[in-house]
Amino acid sequence: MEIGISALLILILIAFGMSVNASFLAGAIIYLLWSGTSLDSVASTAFFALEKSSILAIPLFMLAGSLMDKAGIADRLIELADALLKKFKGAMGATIPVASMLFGAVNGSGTATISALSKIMLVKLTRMGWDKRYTATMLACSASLGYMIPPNMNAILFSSVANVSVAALFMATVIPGVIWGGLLMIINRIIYTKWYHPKNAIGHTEFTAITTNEVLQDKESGYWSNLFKALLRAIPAIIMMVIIFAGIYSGLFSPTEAGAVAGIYALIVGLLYKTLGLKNIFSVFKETGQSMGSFMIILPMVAIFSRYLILNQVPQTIAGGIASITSNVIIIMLLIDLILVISGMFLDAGVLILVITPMLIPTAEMIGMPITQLAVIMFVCVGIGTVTPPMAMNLFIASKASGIEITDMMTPLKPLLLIGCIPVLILVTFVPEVSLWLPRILGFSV
Amino acid sequence: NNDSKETGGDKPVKWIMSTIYTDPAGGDITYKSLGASMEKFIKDVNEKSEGRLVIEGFYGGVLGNANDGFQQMERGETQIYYGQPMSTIDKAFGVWNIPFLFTDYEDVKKVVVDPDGEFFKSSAKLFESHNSILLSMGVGNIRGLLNGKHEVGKIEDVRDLKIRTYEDEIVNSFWKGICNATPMAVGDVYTALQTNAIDGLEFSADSIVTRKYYEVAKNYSDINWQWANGASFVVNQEAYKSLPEDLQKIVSECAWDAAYFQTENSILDNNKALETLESGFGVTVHNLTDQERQTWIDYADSISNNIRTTVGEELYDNIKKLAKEGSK
Amino acid sequence: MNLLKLADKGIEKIVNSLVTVAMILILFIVFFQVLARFYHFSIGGFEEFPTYMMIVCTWLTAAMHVKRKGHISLNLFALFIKDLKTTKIINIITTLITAIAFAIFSILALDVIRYNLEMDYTTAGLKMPYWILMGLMMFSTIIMTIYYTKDIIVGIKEVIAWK
Ligand code: NA
Ligand code: NA
Repeated sequence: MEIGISALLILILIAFGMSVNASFLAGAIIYLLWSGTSLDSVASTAFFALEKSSILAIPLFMLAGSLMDKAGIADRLIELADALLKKFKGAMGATIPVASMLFGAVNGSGTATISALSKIMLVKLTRMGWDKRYTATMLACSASLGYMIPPNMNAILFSSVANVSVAALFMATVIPGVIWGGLLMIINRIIYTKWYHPKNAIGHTEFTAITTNEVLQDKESGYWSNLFKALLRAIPAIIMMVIIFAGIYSGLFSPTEAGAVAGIYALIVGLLYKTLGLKNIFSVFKETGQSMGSFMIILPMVAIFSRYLILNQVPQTIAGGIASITSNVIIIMLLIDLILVISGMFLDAGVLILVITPMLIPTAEMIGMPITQLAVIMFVCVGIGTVTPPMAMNLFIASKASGIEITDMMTPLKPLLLIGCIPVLILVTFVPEVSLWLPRILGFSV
Repeated sequence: NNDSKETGGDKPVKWIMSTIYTDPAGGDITYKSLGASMEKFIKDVNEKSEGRLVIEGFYGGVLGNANDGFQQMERGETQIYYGQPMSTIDKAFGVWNIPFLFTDYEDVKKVVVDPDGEFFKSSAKLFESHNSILLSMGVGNIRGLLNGKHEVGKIEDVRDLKIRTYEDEIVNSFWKGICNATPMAVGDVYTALQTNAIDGLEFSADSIVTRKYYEVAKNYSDINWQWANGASFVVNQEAYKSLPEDLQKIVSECAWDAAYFQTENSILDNNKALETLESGFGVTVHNLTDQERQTWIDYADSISNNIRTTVGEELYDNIKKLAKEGSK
Repeated sequence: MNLLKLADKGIEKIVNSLVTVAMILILFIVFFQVLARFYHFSIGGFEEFPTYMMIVCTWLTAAMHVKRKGHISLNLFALFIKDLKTTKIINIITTLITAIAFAIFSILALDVIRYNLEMDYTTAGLKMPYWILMGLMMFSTIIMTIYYTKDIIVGIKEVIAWK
C-alpha cells in the first residue's frame, strides 16, 4: 500500500520536473518514514549499488564511442554505408540504419551511436536536401541498432541482475537487430520522397553518394570501385570489429573489457591518422567523466527504492497479478510487452533493465519463456523507450544535435515507430527462435 | 532495529533473512540443500513460535551479495544471514577456509555440525565483535577441481592450467603459486570455459552440475582443497536478545535442525553429483590417491605461514588442532 | 560571500581535473588487466580500482550537475502549465523536496561512514578504507544540498520581487 503510493508519488514528482534521481530518493525516504521502517540501509544501499564491475561498461563504452567519433572511425563507417547503398533509391536515408549497425559492431551503446553519428550525418544529409526532421528522427530510431548488434552494454547490465551468459545474449540480438534495420530501410524506401528534396541541396558534398538516382544507374561500374575505396578507408574500423568480436568470443577479454580495448584502439588509430590531437583526447576524457554524474546517479537512487519493492514482494505480486488476470500465454506475453513499452515511456534504459527485469523473471519462468528471450524483448523495448516521450533519450539527443523540436519529430516518428520498431517487438515476443536460433547453433545453452 | 525492539505483547516480531542461495520455492530440493535448509528454518520458526516470530526469507542475493548481506545483518538492516561469513568482513573468518582443514564431508559432520563441540564454540567467539551470534553451522561444501584439459592428480598437473579464482586472499595465495590463476566473476565462468579463456575452476561437485559446467569441461578431481563454511546461520545480536527466552530457544533449535538437514542433504547431493557427472555427463571423476593428495598438502603447508599470520596465529593453531583431533 | 564563490570555483576545478585523470586511469587499468591476463603478469589488486574511480566520479560530478541543471528530468507539467509564476513556485517546491532529501541522505551517510570506520572495513583488493570512499559520497550530497538550498533562496527572492 505505502510502497504503491510512494511509487505513484515518484512519478508525480518526475512529472513536475524534479530530477529523476532525487524523485526516487525522496520517494524512498517518504515511504520509509511513512511505513515506520528504519532508514539505516539508505546510504549503504546507494553506495554499493555502483560497486559492480558490470556497470563499469557504461563509462568504458561511452569513452570508446567518443574516441571513435573524434578519431574519424565513425566517419569512415558512414562512408562505407554510403558506398554500400549507392545503388538504391533514397539510399542516403537508409545509410542511417546501416551506419548505425556498422558502428554498433564496434561499440555497445545506443547513446554513443547516435552521439557519434548525428554530428556528421545531420550536416551531410541536410546539404543533400534531406529534411532534418526526418533525418533526426531516423537517427533516433536507428540508434538502438548500436547495441542490438554486439557488443551490447545493455546485455552486460542485464546479466548483472539475471544469471545468463553475456556472450549468448550478444548473439541473441543479432537477427532481431538486422530485421529491425531492414524494416527501417524498407520504410525509408517507401516514404523518402516526402522528406528528400534534391532541389534543396546546397552545393557539392564530399560524399560520392547519390544526389539523384539517374546518375547512379549510369555508373554501374563506379559502384564497385567506390565500395572498394570505402572498404579500404574503413579498414581500421573493420580491424576493430574483428578484434572486438574475436577477443570476446575467444575469451581474451570480457564484454566489459571490450569497451577498454575499443577505446585504446580508437586512441591508437586517432594518433596514427593524426585525427586525434592531445587536446581532443583530454576533452573526451573530461566530457565523458563529467557526464557520468547526470545519469549514473540515477542507479543508486533507484536501488534504494527497489530494495523496498523487493522487501514488499512487489515483483512477485506483479507476476502473480499478471497470472491471476489470465492463464492465456499469448495475453501474458502481450501484457509483458505492454508493461515494458509503458515503462519505457518513463524510464531510462538502465533503470528499465535493472528494476523491471527482476519483476518479470518470475512471470517469464512461469510461462516457460527462456530468460534469453525475455532479455531480447527487454532490449527491443529499451530501444522503443528511447524514442517514446516523455522520457525519450535518443529523441532528446537528436533534437539537441539538429535543433529540431521534439514535437516536429512526431510526424516522421509515427511510421518509423509503428512499422519499424513495434513489429520487431511482436516478432521477438512470439517467435522465440528469432532470438534463440543463433546462440543455439553456436553452442550456448539458452 | 526498531522492528524487533518495539514489539512486545501481541504484535508478531518480523525478521528479514537473506542469503545468496537459490530459492527452492517448496519444490524439488536436489542440489538445493542450502536454500532448502533456510526454507525449512523459516517454516519451522514460523510454526513453532505460533506466529509470534515471523521470518521472511530473501533468496538469490536479491538483497545483496555475501559481503553485503552479512553487513546488513550486522547493522540490523536485516536480522538473519545465512551463508558464508566472508574473510573480507573479518580476516579471522578465513580460518575455516585453511587449505586441507577438512577433505571429507563426514569429518566436517563429526567436528563442525555439533552444538556442544569445541569447534563450534571457538567459531562462535569470532562473531562477538560483529554484533552478531552464530546460531549453527551446517556441513557447507568442499571444493574439488574441474578442468577441460586433462586429468589432475598430483599438484604438478595444474601447472599448465588457467584456473579461475576470485577476490579472496586464501584462494589467491594458494592458486597463484601453482598455476595461472585468473580472477573472474562466477557469471562469466561458463563462457570462459567454453572459449578456453580459463581451463578450469575449483568448485563443489553439486554446483558444477547445477551450473552445467560439465557441458564445457570434462575432468573432475576430488582434490577437496578447501572447506567452504557456507551454511552458517548468523543472527543480529540485538534482534536475538530482544526476543523472549522461549523464542530465542526456538530460533536456536530450529537453526540446528536446519543445519542437520542441510548436512544430510548436502552429503547426498555431493555423492549424487559425483555419480551423475561420471555416468550421466561423461565427466572423468578422478579420486586422488593418498600420495597424490600429499603433494597438495605439502604445498599447502609450505605456504601456511602466510595464512597463519593473516587469520591470527593462536586462532589458526587452535582450529587446525580441533579439526585434526576430531577427524581421527 | 566571495570566499564561498572562490571555494565553489576551486571545487569545480578540482573535480574536473580529478574526473579527467580518473577516466584515463579507468580506460588504461582495464586495458592493462587484459594484457596482464594475456602475458601472465599481475596488476596486484588494481582490478577493483576502476570501479571505485567510477563511483567517486559519479558522485562528485553529480554534485557539479546541480549547478548547471544537468540532471535528467522530464518536466511534463510544462506542457500544460505555461504560466511563469506557477512554474516558478512548483520549481521552488520540488527543489525544496530535493534539498531535504539530500540533506537526510547526508546525515544517513554519516552513520554508515562512522560504522565502516569503526569496523575498519576496506575494499577487497587494495584495502582502501570504505569510510573514505563513502565520505566522498557524503561530501557530494552535502554540496548538492547547498546548491539546491541556494536555488531555493534565489527562487524565493524572485517570487518576493513580483509583489
Ligand atoms: Na553494439
Ligand atoms: Na521513452
